[in-house]
Amino acid sequence: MDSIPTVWPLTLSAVLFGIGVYGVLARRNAVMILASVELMLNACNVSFISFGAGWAEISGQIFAIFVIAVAAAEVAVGLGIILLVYRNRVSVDVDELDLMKG
Amino acid sequence: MTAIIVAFVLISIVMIVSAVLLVTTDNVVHAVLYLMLVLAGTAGIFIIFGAEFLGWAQVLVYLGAIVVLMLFGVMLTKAEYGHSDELDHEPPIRWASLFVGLAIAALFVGVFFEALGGGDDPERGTGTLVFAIETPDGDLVPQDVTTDVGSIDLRILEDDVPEEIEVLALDGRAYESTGGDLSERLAEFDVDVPPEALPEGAGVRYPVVEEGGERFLGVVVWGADETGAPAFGGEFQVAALRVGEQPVPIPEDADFHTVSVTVCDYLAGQKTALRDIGIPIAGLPMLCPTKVDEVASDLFNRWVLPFEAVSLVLLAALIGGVVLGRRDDPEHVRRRVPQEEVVA
Repeated sequence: MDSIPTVWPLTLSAVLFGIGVYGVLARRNAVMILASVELMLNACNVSFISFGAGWAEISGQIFAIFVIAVAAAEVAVGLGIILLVYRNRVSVDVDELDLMKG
Repeated sequence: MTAIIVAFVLISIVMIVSAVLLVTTDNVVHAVLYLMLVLAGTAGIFIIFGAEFLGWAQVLVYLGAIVVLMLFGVMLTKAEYGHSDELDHEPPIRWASLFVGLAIAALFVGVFFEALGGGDDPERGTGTLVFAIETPDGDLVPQDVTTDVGSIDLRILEDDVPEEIEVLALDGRAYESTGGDLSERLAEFDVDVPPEALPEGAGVRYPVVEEGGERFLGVVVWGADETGAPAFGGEFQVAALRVGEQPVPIPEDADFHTVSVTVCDYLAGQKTALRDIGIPIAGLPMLCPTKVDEVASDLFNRWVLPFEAVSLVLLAALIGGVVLGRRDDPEHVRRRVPQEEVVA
């Protein structure tokens, strides 16, 4: 079996991470921002797995498990916050959340 | 181009296209569905790179739970189901975002390529194993692989078994592997030593030593009891640990219950081949550890404290979700519908 060079999946993960950064910055809808953050976390997981495979180190997978767990917690709390914002403002547009603007 | 490379490239293309659509589409529900595609592709990538357990965990956690949660979020925030102009910022901010995203991606790609090189195709080599048994006098005696007691099977865990394996004793005598049923016994026995039990520098990251055109692939840790016979379990001395012809110091108190060798063929700092070579031990049958076994053993030994910390984070998130979702306001408490209204 020809093995895939480790840089390939790493490049994939970098591209996905960049797309996720664009999504976080360009989106105005809070749910879409959360989805983009998920995209970035998954890009990190792809790097962990490919580094782990490249170095024959099982710890890469362990870290990815941690990232998955923390991402699940983040989605739960994040959606809770978004729903609370929606309940108070009847909108999830982050541009309207300027209470702390100086 | 093997099937695995084709699969990787296809999944990558699907993932990148879906990710771009995810951040550009003007339909919220579609965006979540694109996110689902990306997550499914990630699971495929995990499986391609040997993380089967994590791949399926990804399917369960992300595809099963998180995507549904996101769809709930879309429903509960009453987003417009069709096209919407409210999803994105104005074009100047989007151009700036695009610049930032491209810059970060380019930075990462540059760092990865700088660190790992262009990723040349791996080269295959003949593996050489070095081993010996220590006698009570402290001499290192090359182990004769033809005797019953000390017989050694070399077993390759991967499919890409090298054509021949040469067992090189300390005195330079070479022993050839028996070949034949190498792969069949693999399922019955395996040997394992936790990485932390190996001395510093041992384990999976031995460099290849090239001498006289011959490439030494790995090391074997081998033990003997007081009589010089091979001993496994209990206390025994590790005789020698060598990389190629270079001995590696072994701590006095090293207690190797069993022996395992993971051979990494590095060339100039780059991985060129990767194989596990185990030594079966008579009378000590062990099941071959699966990927899940490895993940579990690492998770619950080496990373048990972080594991507990993450479980606390999850608990805190659970409580936080409940607290955030609570309605203290009595106005919002769901009113019971009076009986007469129901009748009417």
